[in-house]
Amino acid sequence: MMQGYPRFLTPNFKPFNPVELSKLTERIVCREGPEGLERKYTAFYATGVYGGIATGYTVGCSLRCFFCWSERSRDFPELYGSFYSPRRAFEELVKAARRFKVKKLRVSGAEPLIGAEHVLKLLELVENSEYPLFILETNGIVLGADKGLARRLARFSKVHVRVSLKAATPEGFQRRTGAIGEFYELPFKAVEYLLDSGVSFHVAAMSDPRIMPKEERRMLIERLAEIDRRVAANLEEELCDPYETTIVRMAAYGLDPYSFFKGRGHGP
Amino acid sequence: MDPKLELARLILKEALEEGEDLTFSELLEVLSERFKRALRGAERYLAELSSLGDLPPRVAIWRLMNDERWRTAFEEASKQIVEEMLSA
Repeated sequence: MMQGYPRFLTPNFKPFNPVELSKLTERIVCREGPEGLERKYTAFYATGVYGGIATGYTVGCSLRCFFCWSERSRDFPELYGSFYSPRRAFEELVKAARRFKVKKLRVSGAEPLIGAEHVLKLLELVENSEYPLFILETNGIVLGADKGLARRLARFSKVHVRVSLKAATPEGFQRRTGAIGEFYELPFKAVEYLLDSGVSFHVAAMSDPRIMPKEERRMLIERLAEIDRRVAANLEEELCDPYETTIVRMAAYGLDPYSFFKGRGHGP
Repeated sequence: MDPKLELARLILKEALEEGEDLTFSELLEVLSERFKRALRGAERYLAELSSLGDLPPRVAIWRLMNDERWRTAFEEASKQIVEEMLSA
């Protein structure tokens, strides 16, 4: 049983069970409403990534990556956001899409599959709309722990899942995310389940050499290639940028952000 | 080299660099300019891809990888790209 709610990482953090944290976080960021499961969001807007996309910024995650750039709501989900039903969240996404003249939709900023019933209902609304694409960005923890979820996602033709991997070893996973190392397998399981279920997806990885050693990057690519070479070839490799929240999280973890971003330092 | 395979290989390679900032049609434009000579003979394939234009490149690539007409080219191209990624 988890002792206290894990916030940002500190040098002496106690590794946590990310599946348990997903459930604990769900109790904070989701609630039953008259129109289905409601989820906390902090904003709806559009941004230039993916060639222009309307975005719902959600609250609550199952990992505590020290390089994460998401808002402080990740660490203090009780303090941020308002509850939206799937229908209201969809309406806000449509408003943002119209305002900025974009046709793609997504949820971001957190782990959207915490309280998966919310996003599944949202996807039903997208499916029956004029919008051709919905990007679902996930860390693969909930998806890897529940094989049936990939099959449920496969029912939707407009969803494309982006699974973000943080590590290819238990040690790297625990150091970077705060979660118990053995759970590093779950995001790889998520990849297998998406592939088996025929869901449109691609994999991203925080393979920035300042964070992931070269040998671990190699292991990650080899592991993906063992699952399917096409998945490895379509890998999106991420770089760590000095966002304000990233700098604060690094400092809290005992890393010197200046040395890190000036290229004189490495991740833990 | 088979122009279709070469096009698939160049799409994957370019996506490694520009996959997050451009739409698929913008990526194809960059390719057509940068690799004019290498893509000689691939014009009709480039035209075939125009329907995926507004999609993010990695979404378009996954669709192509699962499209019967493109599957073989992308399987072979993936093999080559993974070898390059591992040797980098």
